[in-house]
Amino acid sequence: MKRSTTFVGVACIGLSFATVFGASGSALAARKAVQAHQAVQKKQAITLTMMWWGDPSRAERIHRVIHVFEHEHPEIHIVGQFTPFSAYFDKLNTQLATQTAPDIFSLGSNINDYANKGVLLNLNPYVGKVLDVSGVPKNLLTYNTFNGHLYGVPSGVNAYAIIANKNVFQKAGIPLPKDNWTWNDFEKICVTIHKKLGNSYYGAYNDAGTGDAFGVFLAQRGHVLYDAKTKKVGFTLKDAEDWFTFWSRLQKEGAVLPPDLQSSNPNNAGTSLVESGKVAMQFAPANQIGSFQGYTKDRLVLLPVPVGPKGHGTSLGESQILVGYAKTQHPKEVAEFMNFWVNDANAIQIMGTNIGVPVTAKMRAVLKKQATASDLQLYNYCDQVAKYPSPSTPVYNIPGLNEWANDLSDISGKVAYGQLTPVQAAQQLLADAQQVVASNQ
Amino acid sequence: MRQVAISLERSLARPRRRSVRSLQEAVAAYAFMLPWLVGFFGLAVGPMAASLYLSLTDYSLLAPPHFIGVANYVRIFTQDPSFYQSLRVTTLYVLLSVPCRLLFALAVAMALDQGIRAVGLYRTIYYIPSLMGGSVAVALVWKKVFGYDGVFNHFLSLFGWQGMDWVANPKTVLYTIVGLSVWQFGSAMLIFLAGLKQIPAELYEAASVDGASRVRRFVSITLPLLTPTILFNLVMGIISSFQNFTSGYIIGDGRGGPLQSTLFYTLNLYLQGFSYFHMGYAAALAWVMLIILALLTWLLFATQRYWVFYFDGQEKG
Repeated sequence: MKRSTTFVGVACIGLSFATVFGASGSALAARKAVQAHQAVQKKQAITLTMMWWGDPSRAERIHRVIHVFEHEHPEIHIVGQFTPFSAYFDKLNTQLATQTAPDIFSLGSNINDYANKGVLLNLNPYVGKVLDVSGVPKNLLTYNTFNGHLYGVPSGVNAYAIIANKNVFQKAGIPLPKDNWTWNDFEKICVTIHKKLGNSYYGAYNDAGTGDAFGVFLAQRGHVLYDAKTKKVGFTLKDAEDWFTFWSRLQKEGAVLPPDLQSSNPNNAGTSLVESGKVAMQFAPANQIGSFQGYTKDRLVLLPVPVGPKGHGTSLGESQILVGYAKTQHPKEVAEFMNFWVNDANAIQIMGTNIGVPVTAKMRAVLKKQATASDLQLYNYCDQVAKYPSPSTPVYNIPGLNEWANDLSDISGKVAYGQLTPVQAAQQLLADAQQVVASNQ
Repeated sequence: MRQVAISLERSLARPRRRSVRSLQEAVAAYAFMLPWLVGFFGLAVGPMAASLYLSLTDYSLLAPPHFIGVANYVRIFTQDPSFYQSLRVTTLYVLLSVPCRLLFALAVAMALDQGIRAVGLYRTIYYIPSLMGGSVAVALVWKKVFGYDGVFNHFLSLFGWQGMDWVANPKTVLYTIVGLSVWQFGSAMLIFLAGLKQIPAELYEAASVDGASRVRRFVSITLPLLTPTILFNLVMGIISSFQNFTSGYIIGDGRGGPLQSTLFYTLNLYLQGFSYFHMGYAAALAWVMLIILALLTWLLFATQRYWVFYFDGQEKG
């Protein structure tokens, strides 16, 4: 009895050690196997990872770009991964925290969130060498430059717009609005469509909770969401009050989609009621017109955003920004890929306008040759928007974008459900924005 | 108790001979426990200590944490409406889902305890939802079922009732999630089944001889003798319901919407930590949750002297 206990005990110790060392042993074996594999594929000694958000069709395009790049650079292998937008930043944040972030990834107007936290690769050493940004407009480069360091290259240019279903306008017997239409015209059209087509039709989505639309509204009044210079919230109580009052009035008139229908039919490509013709208009980034059109036989058109008190619509901005991870093992290769992304005709032809209009004039010329009807609308719209004066200083989103976006959408929901008056909502929005900015400095 | 006393006496009587052997036994015991100890310290105690430290820091995930004392805890209770909202949602969910699930589980367990054939098969079938219920896939299906064009509304239309989008409406979405939770009654059911099997048959026989009705037998025999099992299921149910995440994340919009009606405690914690760059604050939320759960559990155990009956010949007190 005694001996057997001892034996079992010893055996067990042995076993657990064997497990521990066995595990490290097998890890060692795995590493050797990988090294052997790499030795065989000497040409692909460098592996980069890349992450972006979007749907499978965007992924398919990016994978083709990667494939062409690998063909030209046999020593580099790129592993792509993608997530839907809703989960993208949660995933990215986790990867950055555990230092397992991809070598290359996409950001948007929240680049300041990351640039100021020191997690992005400084591209200065590569500019003019492997990375040619000479064709990229100055203001776009300035946008991605923090403390003199260039942190990203723009994937495309874009402008905020309204996607409208032309068939709905025809059915209601009203013409499409003119280019310099105002917010009042927007309201009138929404009301008319609802009145003419009946109760289950609406003029527009209620975009009170859409941060970008609010940003456009503010810019037209000479304000910004966030003033990067003073590091303070850039809008006033009056701005927010007017914003919520406007949408709340439209809702009372039945002109915009009620909140429950809105949450069951989010205004994304594939689920938006603009595609099915129940809703006539919605705010969206202009380059989305192609994706939306893919889901419907109705004719979709791009309308400029309504102009503000000074007659301004909106200005061109970066749709997405390609950045590198500060701790990447292969910064030079990251820069090489960025160069390919911005300047290679093959890459541009594959991507089309999926992420926006190409940033260099040369590449825009390449694309115009293969433009579809939706693309042409996009180009025309961007040309038109380019005529509006653009802000002299870069306009970033509020630091802590995720939290701010959630607050805005919650508060606008409360207005839509009648739990807050526009005035209360404005007070809460401003307080929340200040709190978010303060906790993300 | 008596046995313990005897072995204690023995070990006192022969201290020397036992020491070598007890050392060997101890080594063997620790060797057996080693995998668990490694897991316990590496995967539970270590991370918990780290989270306790992080809860006292301002940690943005991307920059190193810096110590700020109890500021996170102060903010939870004084400045954060989303904390109270998440607590409201979670409390309502626990209050609805736990009793419903236990009642349902007990009903099914009693039906299966009638000596029907192929009990094993039914037991397995009814347990399947518990295995799948926590999954993303089922939550997605659930969302479709209760959507505007979902199966549930088609079912209602058979009776001429007009449905609505149950998951997009802030007033009803929580009830659909409660429904999903009740559907996962399997593990509670298995434990109830085991509890029912423990009740001596002669009690029922005696009661039948005395002419007790079914209801009477249930109220006077089954229920009292099942109270320890009910207590166990209640505690486990409250803990697991309080930690509900997946169904809220998927069936809601993943951000607590519509109108923060699906902002479960754990979802709020997740958003604060992974989405809003407030990992230190999220760690503090986790510790507050631990304290809340510990208090609830202690409260339940404190009340057991009033309603839990241990059938082991003597009353517990």
